[in-house]
Amino acid sequence: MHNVLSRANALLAFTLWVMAAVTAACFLSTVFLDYTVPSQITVKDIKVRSIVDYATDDQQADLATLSFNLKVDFTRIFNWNVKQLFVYLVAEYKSKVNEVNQVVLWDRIVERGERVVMDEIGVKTKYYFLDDGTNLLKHDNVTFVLRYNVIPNAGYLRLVQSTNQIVVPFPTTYSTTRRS
Amino acid sequence: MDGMIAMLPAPLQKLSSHIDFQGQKVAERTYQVILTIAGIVGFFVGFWTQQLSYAIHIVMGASAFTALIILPPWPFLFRKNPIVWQVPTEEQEETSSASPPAESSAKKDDKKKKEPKKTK
Amino acid sequence: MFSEIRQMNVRQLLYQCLNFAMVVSSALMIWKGMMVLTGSDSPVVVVLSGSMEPAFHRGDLLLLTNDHEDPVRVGDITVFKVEGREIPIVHRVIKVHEKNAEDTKILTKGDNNQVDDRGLYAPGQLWLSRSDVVGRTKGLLPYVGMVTIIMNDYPKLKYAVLAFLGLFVLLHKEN
Repeated sequence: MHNVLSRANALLAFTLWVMAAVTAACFLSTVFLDYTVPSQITVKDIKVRSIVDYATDDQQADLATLSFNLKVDFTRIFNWNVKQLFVYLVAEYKSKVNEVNQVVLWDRIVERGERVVMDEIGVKTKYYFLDDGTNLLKHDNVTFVLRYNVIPNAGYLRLVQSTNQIVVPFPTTYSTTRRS
Repeated sequence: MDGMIAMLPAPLQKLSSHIDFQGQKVAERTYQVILTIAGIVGFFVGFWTQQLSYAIHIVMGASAFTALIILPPWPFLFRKNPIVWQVPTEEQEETSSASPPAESSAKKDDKKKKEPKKTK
Repeated sequence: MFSEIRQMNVRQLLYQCLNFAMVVSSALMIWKGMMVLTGSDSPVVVVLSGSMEPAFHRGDLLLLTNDHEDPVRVGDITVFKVEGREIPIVHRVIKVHEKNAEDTKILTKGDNNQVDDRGLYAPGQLWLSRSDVVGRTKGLLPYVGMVTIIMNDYPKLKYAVLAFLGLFVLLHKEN
């Protein structure tokens, strides 16, 4: 504290401590909140085709195409410790080969201050819904669920599942038409 | 640090930013109080507006303001209680007891090396 | 400048060296202790690329765990190592095909990237397995890793700072 350098050093260190304390208090004030919101998903136009795929062991895989409607309101999630949401639609199913299959079909980054109410109609999948084998045909228990990752300014990164989920049966015959 | 300062050329050494012991205590207490208050105010402003950036900016603003107060060695704040050095004993015997202490203290201040460092 | 050393006696000199060793070893022990607690080989990583923006920026510090009881699921932000790449990658899981806990196919993608990570994997590698994943991101501390970024961008500065810190610890006298 005797000369200007040591005073500047002490001041800088204390400022950083106070900033860290404020950030920690911000984290503590938001950590116990409930981040679950309901959503409405409807899935339609499911078609399954059999294609040759190099990433599958048998070189043959089922590819599903579909479109979906999504209605969800994230407004109440955004508080002062939420920087961004990463919203993604998951198809989850069990198959003969695998105990658990999870495929992300669509995702979107929702930042604070953006449009946080979603009402999407007829959205095509962003990623290929490709099985690890040929188990999608006649599958009657594929679950579609909306999940999101809450990314804070500082603190815990939580994964939340929206309260609603739907189970959709898949077609029983391969579609031969080209994907539009 | 003192060794490094002693290596500087003489004109630079004159621009000393040293403050006295009492001043150091005041300066330390000043930044602690201002920044702690700014942190508490910042938290509530941030909570109220739900904007973390506001809270951080308040703390940064308070820090800049505090820097203006405590970094320069303001003579009216931090140099009010200079150390009065005792005259070495041999000199004291030679000269009369009425020797002006202010003058000798000024001389000693230039040679900082023997000053006991008790601060951080 | 070296008058500080000359002023020290042997006892003081030894004390300074011990002090230096203490700083180094406590940092090491915190690191190792976190490894035990989290089960991850690298419990703390600094984000070095912008492939996960806007979630993570360059310089953010991530806290990882690596709990093998808790299976990897889509949406998890994993840190994985790829053969032939020294620096681990932080990306999100977008596909999981799990036969059992040991035999799992995982596909990842960076939020800010257009395509999945197959191009980043080792040549011929199509999936990650559970053993490639060294941790999962659980916590985020912004800007804390900025120093690392600066050091990485200016390696000369790193040695200057290291030398200065070492000198300071050795020369600085406890009052």
